[in-house]
Amino acid sequence: MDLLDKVRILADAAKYDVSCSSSGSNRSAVAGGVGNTAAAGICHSFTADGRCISLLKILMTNFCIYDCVYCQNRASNDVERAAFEPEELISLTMGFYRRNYIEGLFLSSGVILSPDYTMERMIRIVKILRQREHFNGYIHMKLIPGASAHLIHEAGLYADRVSVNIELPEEESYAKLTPEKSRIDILKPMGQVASGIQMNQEEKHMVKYQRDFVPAGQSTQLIVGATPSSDGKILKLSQHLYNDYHLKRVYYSAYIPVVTHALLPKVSRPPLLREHRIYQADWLLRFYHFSAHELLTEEENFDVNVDPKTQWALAHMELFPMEINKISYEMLLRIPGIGLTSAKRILRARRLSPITYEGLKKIGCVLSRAKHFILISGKYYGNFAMRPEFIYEAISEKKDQLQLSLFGEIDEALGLQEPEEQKRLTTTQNLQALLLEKSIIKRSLGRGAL
Amino acid sequence: MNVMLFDGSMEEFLMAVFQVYVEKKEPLLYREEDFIPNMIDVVEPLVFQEEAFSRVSKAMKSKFPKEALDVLTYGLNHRDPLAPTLLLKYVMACFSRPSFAFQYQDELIMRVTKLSRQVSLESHRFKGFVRFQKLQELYFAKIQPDHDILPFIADHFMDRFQEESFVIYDEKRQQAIFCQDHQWVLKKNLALDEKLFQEDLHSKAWSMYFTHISIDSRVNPRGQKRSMPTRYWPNLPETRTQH
Repeated sequence: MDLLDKVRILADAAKYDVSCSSSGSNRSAVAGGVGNTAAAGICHSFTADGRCISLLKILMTNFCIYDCVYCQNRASNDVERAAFEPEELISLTMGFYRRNYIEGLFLSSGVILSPDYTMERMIRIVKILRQREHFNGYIHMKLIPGASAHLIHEAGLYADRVSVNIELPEEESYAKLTPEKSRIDILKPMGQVASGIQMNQEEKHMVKYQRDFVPAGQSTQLIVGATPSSDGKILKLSQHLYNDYHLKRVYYSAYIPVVTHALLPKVSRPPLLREHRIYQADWLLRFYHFSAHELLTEEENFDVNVDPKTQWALAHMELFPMEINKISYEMLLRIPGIGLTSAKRILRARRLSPITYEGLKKIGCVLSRAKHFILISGKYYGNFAMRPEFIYEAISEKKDQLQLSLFGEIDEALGLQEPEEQKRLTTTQNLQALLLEKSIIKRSLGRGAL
Repeated sequence: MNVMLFDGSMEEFLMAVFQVYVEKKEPLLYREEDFIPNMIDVVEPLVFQEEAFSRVSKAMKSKFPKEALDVLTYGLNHRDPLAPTLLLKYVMACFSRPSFAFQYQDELIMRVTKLSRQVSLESHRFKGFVRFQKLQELYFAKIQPDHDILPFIADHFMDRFQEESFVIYDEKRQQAIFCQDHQWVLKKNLALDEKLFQEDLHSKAWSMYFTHISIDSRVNPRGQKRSMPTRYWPNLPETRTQH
């Protein structure tokens, strides 16, 4: 099999991993070495699906002994299989890096023979890159659930970032969808790395030339829409991961039916809007000082028509309107239509002169949203006398109307046209997932009609 | 009206600042290549004077906030012919009150802030969008950025590729940076042969990777073009054929 075929098969097999960032590590170049890392990360290209390519994201092999239902590389799936020789992958990485195609390597793999064997082979590749090729660029390594602790530690010495994917937001789903793994298998290495990073940081204060251990931190990925978890549950899990495991990022991946299986919902289009809203909320957690329970209870889902911050604000009208010339930075961040940049600009500009309506427009706030929630030097510029239902109607993105056509698709997916298929599906809890999607749309329709 | 012409460099820009601040000239400044001779404008040449230069730069460094100096550095390389004039007015505004640089409610401040952000964004983008091709032991890259960003990306590539000699050529402005042994120089007014930028073996594997890492059911060409505008595509091996 020639190299191009391997690239084709193993890129195809790696693409459902969302993470591709090259941020969080700031390592300067060394004489005699190749490369460095930039703290902000650099995107090198953008694919037809609009996602950025920063790293050479590829599997070492897509042979796998596991049979996880949601994964296209599962043992029972009939796909083309391939495996890289270490040297092939090394020369590919170096060649791409020297041509400035990539920031580094994102190495993942199917599990061959055993988790330890796989992990060892991956480490060998990364080690050669670092030691023989003096590669100083970014390396993201996937940890294989079930690998021994000493291997996890060794991986952390060579990689900038490591990750292990949780995939399923609910613990109960594991038994059915990925019988070989359990939540413990995933959280164990994550916990080990988290405490390793903390220790490493403390050591760096004491020892001048302490080696790095996972300097760019860890990340994980959750699938949205493969199981019936609500947005509230997903967000609560993320918050837990950020707080207790100090993750740098949680990625969300709208469930894409890579395989057809009776246990999984049959959706023909990935729930991209839902994924988008969860990402917006994730940003609120990380940069806007929100916490998960403020945004949603565990059973709730996000509204499709407005962003999570607006949804929160409309439910807390008693806090508004806020005087833009007085409130703190933290409160500025809570106003819909005001982002991090405009909040900082407001802070600086109002020291020089009071903020005016025109000035706010120039600063770059989205006034169509913000005006309903603020006072500018005591004057209210919104309409609707602070009635949330009218404000909602005015600033709704009207996504539900665009999605009406999806109803037909969902009915089809539920098999309502084919009674036999329906019988089979109703036996699984996955039906609820689809109903959930439907109820989000219905709910927002109901609110719109008020 | 009296207008001043300059070569686009920071040195001559500061001469213009001196002319406006000390000699009380009209703050109208154009790059030589942008200026179209006409019957109304009387051109005043700028002569570089060491003393005036150090006086202005010292004053700016001590009075201006760092953000304002960044705005100037990036903004000066913006391709808009009005950029030098706007920046000149900006410098005058900052001299009268340095904190005015943060008056984001002001039209002028926001205009120059946006100019500078556009240049800094493009500089960041081109840290990713430069594509080298290997020819013998040299690496060649060709770019067509909107703004004159070469000086802002040179250090990045010099640090990254310590052991390599490379050339990054700005086709539009006919200038290039040459980097070797951890030093770089910018050479202007040169035309490089197209033959230097032939695709090599790796670009095929790269194009293959590029096609197959994309998820078909999430196809989003608008998102792709927003992040990577099509005007950059001819110089990227992965999109050259699609352009």
